[in-house]
Amino acid sequence: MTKRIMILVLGLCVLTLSLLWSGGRQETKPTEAGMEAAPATLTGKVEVFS
Amino acid sequence: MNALINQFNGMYPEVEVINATVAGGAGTNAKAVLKTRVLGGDPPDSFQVHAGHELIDTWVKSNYMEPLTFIYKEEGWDKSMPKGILDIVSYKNDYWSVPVNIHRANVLWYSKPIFQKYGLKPPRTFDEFFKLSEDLKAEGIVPMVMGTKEGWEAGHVFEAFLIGTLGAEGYSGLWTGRTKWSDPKVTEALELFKKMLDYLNTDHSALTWDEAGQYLIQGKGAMLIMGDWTNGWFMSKNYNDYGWALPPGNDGIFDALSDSFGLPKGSKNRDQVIAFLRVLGSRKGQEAFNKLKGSIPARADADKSIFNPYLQSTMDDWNNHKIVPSVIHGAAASEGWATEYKDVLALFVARKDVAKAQVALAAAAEDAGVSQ
Repeated sequence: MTKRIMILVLGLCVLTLSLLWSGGRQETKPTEAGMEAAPATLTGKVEVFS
Repeated sequence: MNALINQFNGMYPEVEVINATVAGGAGTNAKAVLKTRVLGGDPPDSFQVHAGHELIDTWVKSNYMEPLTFIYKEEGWDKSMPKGILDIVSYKNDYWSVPVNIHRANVLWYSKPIFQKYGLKPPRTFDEFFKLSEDLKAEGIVPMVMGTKEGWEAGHVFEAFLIGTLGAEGYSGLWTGRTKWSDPKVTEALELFKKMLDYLNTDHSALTWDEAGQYLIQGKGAMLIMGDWTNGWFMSKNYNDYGWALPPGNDGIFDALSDSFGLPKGSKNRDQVIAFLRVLGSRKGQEAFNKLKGSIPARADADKSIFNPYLQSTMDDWNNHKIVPSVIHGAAASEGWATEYKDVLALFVARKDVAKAQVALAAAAEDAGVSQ
């Protein structure tokens, strides 16, 4: 009985951690061929010297 | 560059891209401003740098750059870019910049109307080149046009002469020590270059390369040896009456350089610049950029059909010709050596002293640690 409770608790922990992990990740959006996913929102500036 | 910025802003409309352009001098003007900024602890978020020795010797070894290997792995660029390109942006098992293009330095551009009018074909040997130049001179046409105002142009054209006399292996060996600068074929290249100076536009020292290119557009000059950014420049001038060939003795040899962008340490907008670099290396980013710039993509998977006939032929050559590195554009030698080389050639145009120029070229190699 104690063993079942421990497995249940462990399972709940794994589920909680997994939900926390997916919720904390930045949302991504698909990009064109040859590029991996990039952050959906980005603000500010970038200075390029060419 | 605007094509890339537009593409980036399509994905990231809330990021402002400040394109701090410093024009001219084959990048020498920009380099001076850039160095002041980086050494002063105020680097731009990214900057354009020639892949090869300019990138590695000037910026990477001196610890001013961040490695970009993680982007290469995430985007799969270590598979989509050719090994030859990956090699020249690599140092100690890391990738250090994102190459956006390949330029060819050794192209002979010619005026089709002039060549047609006099029944000429592009010269494949130096003998043909000088015979043709003599004939054109007699007709009152400037055979060969060049602008030497910015100091690097003679060194650029001389690369083609060195390739023409030494061949691919001999030329490449100049930068590794396998070929000595005292080699009789270097003497021959200097002699031929000196002879060519007699067929130039007399106002070359007052003109930049593109100002000299106006001779072709106006139908007053016949030939110009310059890199394939000339193709982009001709397009920008709506000039289509040009042909292209390889300079004498350059058959089957591709004198290459690559523009790339790196990530300096201390970038103030790191997330934004990493996103920007991802667009630079993407297939669509490279297609948009190179179609207008007049160069070919660094990536091997670009859509060839969208490029003009010159660029399509260059893409074929890139895959089939022997590749040699351009010195004047940062691929073949350290910046200090390239600068000495440039200065020797600029002086040679004025003084035309073959022996002194050859000794000075050998001394420049010695200064760079390449034993003669």
